[in-house]
Parts: sequence; C-alpha cells; structure tokens
Amino acid sequence: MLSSRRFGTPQFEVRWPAALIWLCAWALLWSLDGILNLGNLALLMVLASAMAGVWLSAAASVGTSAAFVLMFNWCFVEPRYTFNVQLHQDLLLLVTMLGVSAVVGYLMVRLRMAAEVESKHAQSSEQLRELSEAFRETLDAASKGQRLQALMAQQASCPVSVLLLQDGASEDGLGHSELMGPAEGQNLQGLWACAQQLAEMGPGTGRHENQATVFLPLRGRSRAYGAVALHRPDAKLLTPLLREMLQQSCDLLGLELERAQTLRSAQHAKDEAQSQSLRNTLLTSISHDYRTPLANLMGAASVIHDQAPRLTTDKIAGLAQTVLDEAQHLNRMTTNTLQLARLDAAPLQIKKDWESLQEILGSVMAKARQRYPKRQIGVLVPQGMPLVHCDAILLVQLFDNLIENAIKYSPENTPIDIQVQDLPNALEVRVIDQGLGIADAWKDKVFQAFERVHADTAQADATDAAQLRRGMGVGLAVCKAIAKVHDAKLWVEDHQPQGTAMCLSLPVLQQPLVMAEA
Amino acid sequence: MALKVLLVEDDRDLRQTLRDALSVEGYEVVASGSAADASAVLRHTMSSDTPLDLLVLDLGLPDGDGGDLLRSVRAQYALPILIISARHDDANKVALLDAGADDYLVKPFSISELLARMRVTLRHRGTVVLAPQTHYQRGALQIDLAKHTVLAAGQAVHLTPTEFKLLARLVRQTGQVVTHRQLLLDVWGPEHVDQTQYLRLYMGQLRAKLEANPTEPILLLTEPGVGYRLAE
Repeated sequence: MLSSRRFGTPQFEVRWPAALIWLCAWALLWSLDGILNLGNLALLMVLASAMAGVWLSAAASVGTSAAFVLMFNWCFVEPRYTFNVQLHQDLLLLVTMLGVSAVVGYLMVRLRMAAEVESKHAQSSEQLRELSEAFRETLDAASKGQRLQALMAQQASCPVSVLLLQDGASEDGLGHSELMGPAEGQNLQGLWACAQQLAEMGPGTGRHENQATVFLPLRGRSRAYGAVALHRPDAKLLTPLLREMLQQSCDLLGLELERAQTLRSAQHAKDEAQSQSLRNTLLTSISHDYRTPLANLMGAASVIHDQAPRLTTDKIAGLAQTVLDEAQHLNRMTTNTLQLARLDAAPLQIKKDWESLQEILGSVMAKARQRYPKRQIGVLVPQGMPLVHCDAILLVQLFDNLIENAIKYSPENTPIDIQVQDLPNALEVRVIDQGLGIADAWKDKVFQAFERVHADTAQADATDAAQLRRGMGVGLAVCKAIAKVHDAKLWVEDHQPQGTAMCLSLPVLQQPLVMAEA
Repeated sequence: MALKVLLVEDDRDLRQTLRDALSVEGYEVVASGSAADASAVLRHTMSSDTPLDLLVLDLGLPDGDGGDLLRSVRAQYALPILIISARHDDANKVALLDAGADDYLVKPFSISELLARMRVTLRHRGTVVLAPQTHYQRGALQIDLAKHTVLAAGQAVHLTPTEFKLLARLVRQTGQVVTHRQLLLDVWGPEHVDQTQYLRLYMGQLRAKLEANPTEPILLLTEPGVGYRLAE
C-alpha cells in the first residue's frame, strides 16, 4: 500500500531542525551579546522558539522554550548566572516567549493532524479506487470476495471472514450463499444478522458493543449482499476513520454484486423471452407444417377407406402413394425437428469419430437415388481425401437435407451437382441446383428455423410445385446447427449462370495414425 | 412348411398390420404384446416340434426393455433376431448388434423393407450350426473364400491380406450389417477396436478395387455410425 510520506506532511519524528535552530540561535546570542541590548536578544529567542515549534509537538515546544528561557535568564539577564529576574520587563519577555511557543506548537499540531487526516482520506480513497478496479477485472463473485477479504485482513490486521449472498439467498438455503474464512456458531449468526439488518455491529458501532467481532454489511442499494466479520481486531488500530473506509470497501462489493445480479436477471429474462418466442414459432410452424401433410394423408386414406369398392385399382394405388409420400414427409420433418431440439439442448453430446466424407456422401446418394430415381444427380469427389472427425449420422442428415432442398427448389429436368474440393485445411462441399436462386436478403435468413424463401408456399392451397417445397424451414436450421457443432461453415452462394450453391466447409484436423500393412 | 415368426410389438395396431402383412407373405405369425408373454411363447415353442424360425422384436415393451429379452434369448437359443425400434440413436443400435441381434430396422419402415431384412436374417439362420457362407456372387463380382479368389468380370483382383480378411468377414454375413467394432475385432484384433480410421482406409481401398464407382458403391454399403453391409 501507499506510504503516507508521499503526501509530504512533516512528521513528529523529524526533530533535528528544531535542535539546529536552537543551536544557531544560541550561537547568535553569544556573539551578539554586548552588541545588541537585551530586548533585541530576547526577540531573537522568540523567533527561534517560534521556528523550532514548527518541528516539535506543542508540549515539547513549550517545554524547550521554558528551558531555554530559564537558560537565557541565567546567561544574559542581570544579575547574570542567577535565576533572579530584576526587571519586570524581563519577566514579561519570558511569559511572551512561552506564550508564542505554546501557540505556535498548538497551531503546528493542529495543522499536522489535519494533514494526517487528509492523507488518510486520500489513502483510503486511493485504496477504494484500486479495489473497485480489481472488482471490475475479476468476474466471479468468489474471487471478488477473496480480494476484499485479503484487503480487510491487511488493513485491520486480524482474521476476516466474508459471507456472500446472491440471488436472494436466505438462511433457509435458498439462493446461493458462500462463506470464506472461519466463522462458526455466533459469528456465523452474526454475519447473517448483519446482512439481514443492513447495519454494522460490534465494538465501536453502537450495537452489540460487547462482542469481540466487528460485523460490516455488504450494502447494495436496497439490501445487503452479504457481510464481513473482523475477528478480534486491535481496538486501537480500528479507528472510526479506518472502520469507515472498510465499510466503504464492503459497500463497493455490495454494489458490485447487486450490479452483477441485475445483469444476470436481465439476461435470464431475455433468454426466457427468446425461448418463449422460439416455442411460439415452433408451435405455429408445427401446426402448419404438420397439418398440411396430415390433411393430405387423411384425405387419401379416407377416400380409400370409404370409396374403395367404387375406385379403380390404379386410383387406389395412386392414393396409397400419396399416403406413403406424406408419411415420409412427416417422418423427415419430425426427425429434423427432434434433431434441432436435441442440438439446441445439448450441443456437446455428439459422438465424433474418424469418418470418410466419400462414404457419407455415398450413403446420402443411395437414399436420394432411391427417392428420386429419375432425377439427374452428379457427384464429383477428389481421390485420397483426408478423414473428417465428425458425427456421421449428423452429416448424413445435413447433406440429405441440402440435397432434398436442391431437388425441391429447382425444376425437375435440371441436374443437381455435388462437388467436393480438397483444400489445405478444409474440405468444401457444394450442393448446386439450377433453380431460381436465393435473393441476397434471404441468404442468411434461410438458416433460421421456420423462415421460408417462397412466402407463397406457406399457403396451404398453393400450387403443386409450391406444395413440393413446403416444410423446409426446419431442414436448413438443422443443417446450420449440425455445421455449428462441427466447427464447420455453411453458407449460400449464387451459382452461375443460375441457381444456388449451398456450401459447407468442414475443418480438416491432424489425421490419425494408420500403420501400413506389413 | 411355413416359416414361423414370433412378432413382439406392443402397439396393437402396428402388431395387427404387421401380422396381416406377414401372413399374406406366407409366414406363420405368433404375435405377442409384452416381454413376459413373449418369454412364455419362447419357452413353449422352442422345445416343441415346430420351433420358431425368427424373432421380430420391438424394443420399447410395457413390461421391460426389449434389450434384456434379446440378451436372454441369445443366451438360450440360436434363433435369428430382427430388432424393430423407434429409437434413433446409433449407440444403442450398435450395442444391440454387438449383443447378438442379427439386424435392426428403425421405425417408421415400409413392409417391403421389413420383408427384405427378414429374408436376409432367415438365410443366415443356423450360421452357428451350418458352415458359414463362403461364396458370394453379384453382378460381375465373384468371391470364393475357400479358394481365396476374387474375380471381377472374370479377371482376378489382387487384394492385400488385410483387404481380403475384411472382405471375407463381410461375405460371411452377406446382406447383414456388421458393426465397426466387430470388423475391427475380427480383422485387426482386440487392441484396435476403437481405431475406425483403419476401416475407413481399407474400405476405401476395397471399393476402389471392386466398385465401378467408389463414391456410390452398390456392393460395399455404408451404414453411417453403425458399420458396413455387403449387398446381397
């Protein structure tokens, strides 16, 4: 901590200038004796006494002045070498000298004390500033508490315990309370009582004076966020000034904790609102996206059920196909929605392994070709690609969604292309269609759950082409979430001359060791 | 004589649908809705003159986990088991396959998928008793494990010893999925069961030698997160 010397006030310890002044004064007196009359010599004495008073305490100043006046009387006042004073003027001189010395000494002491207080104030405000800076740098409440504990222990030179109360903590174990340092039985009760009553307790505070421990609350604006106990502090050391400074430190922490808690509850409220809004969009979307295929399913199934005898076999087969298609569509949407919820809830619980991108794309292609046997899909994969550390199931789902999207959002007679580029630190996969493309304004939005590029497809009774495209909102959101858990980037590019390229950049890590065959 | 199948499925509608569909295909179906009932049926029929040929087992049963039933059946009988389950997580799938299930199917599935899987599983019935499959032919590819030959369009294909071991392991269970763990254990040994990178590398090499288009294989199929399957 800072030394008070920095504030430049004279100290009681510095006494030698007074001795020097008296020495000089006596040398002058001796040399001027006989040249000047006694009155002028006496004035010299008064001057020396006043000057020496600057460096001496009031008592010392008066004492030395008295001693020197007696010596002056002995040496210079007639009759010399006796303590007899012949003239009244000489007596007056002695009294004047004593009076001036006393006044100067008293004034100096007052000045010093004022300076002392000033310096202590400056010191403590400096300490408070440092403490508040330290609080701002440390993030968690516990280390802030430790910081305060260390400072108080140093200042009061006694053991200190700190009780921190957060999130509306109470003695019944609600909220979050934390105790640092030793405090048991009465002391622990004292800490809680001090925090609850928002008041200092213990010797020198006017409350519970007989206690050996001083309790200080960590005051916020409306309530205490804990308390501090100073165990058996040195009564002389713990001046009201120091106690005030310690209380200010406590309040600093109290306000700091209050601020943190306000921030936390604001964040919590924000999260709550966000999840509420996600839930609402989810419900809206489910009610629409699920009702449409369900309506088709129910329509087709009920026609078969009610009118089967009057329908041709071809017609029934067609309706059954509708039932199958819609069921598959529902299955895909359910899988996507569940995956989105799962990745949202526990993004770190995925199981990664070394996988071959070629294999993953192969199994995605097998499914796509089965679903769309007539569609032209080209795959271009370089040889000898590095392995990717990923969850294969998730990546299959990602590519499956991208390909499904590409197929649905482009005319039936245009090809879909899948291209992989082996870059130094990444594998870049592009799924390219030749459809209408995506407007710049939508390039980021398409990845948000339940946004749709083609707003008209949100109508349940849209055209056949639009019907095909419904329900991909969750699909791309899942892709984004899957990319995120793999530290991969997913973005939209325009494809020339027309169409869209969905691009995924997968990071390539240090490859695992494979021992060559003997 | 019709093949006898025990169908354990707790959903009554699905049980009825599957039962009807399997009957239409000529199977004799015994249906059961709980683990306890299925155990009783197994006890009675397995010692009778007409034992079961196949167990189709749903995992989520009202009175117990299908996984436990699987393990107890596997411990007592050499009965092929096909798992049908609504659970999506592949760790569970792998655990069941490693515990002795012959194959699995994730709900929802189509009847044709179920029938195809049943056919494969039934063909492997008795793998414990009979000699395992040693010959494979599909398209232009011919594999004879006994003679140690692999022919593609009549031409001998040179495989390294490890490639051959890996291929042979898949041939022995043609049509069925073999888990990563099982392949690594049988081909590389117990100290390598977690090193899937070996599988990726050697499957890549095998495909390069045997498939017309290694990116879209038609013989050596990938079951993402689970294992590999040699197409029938």
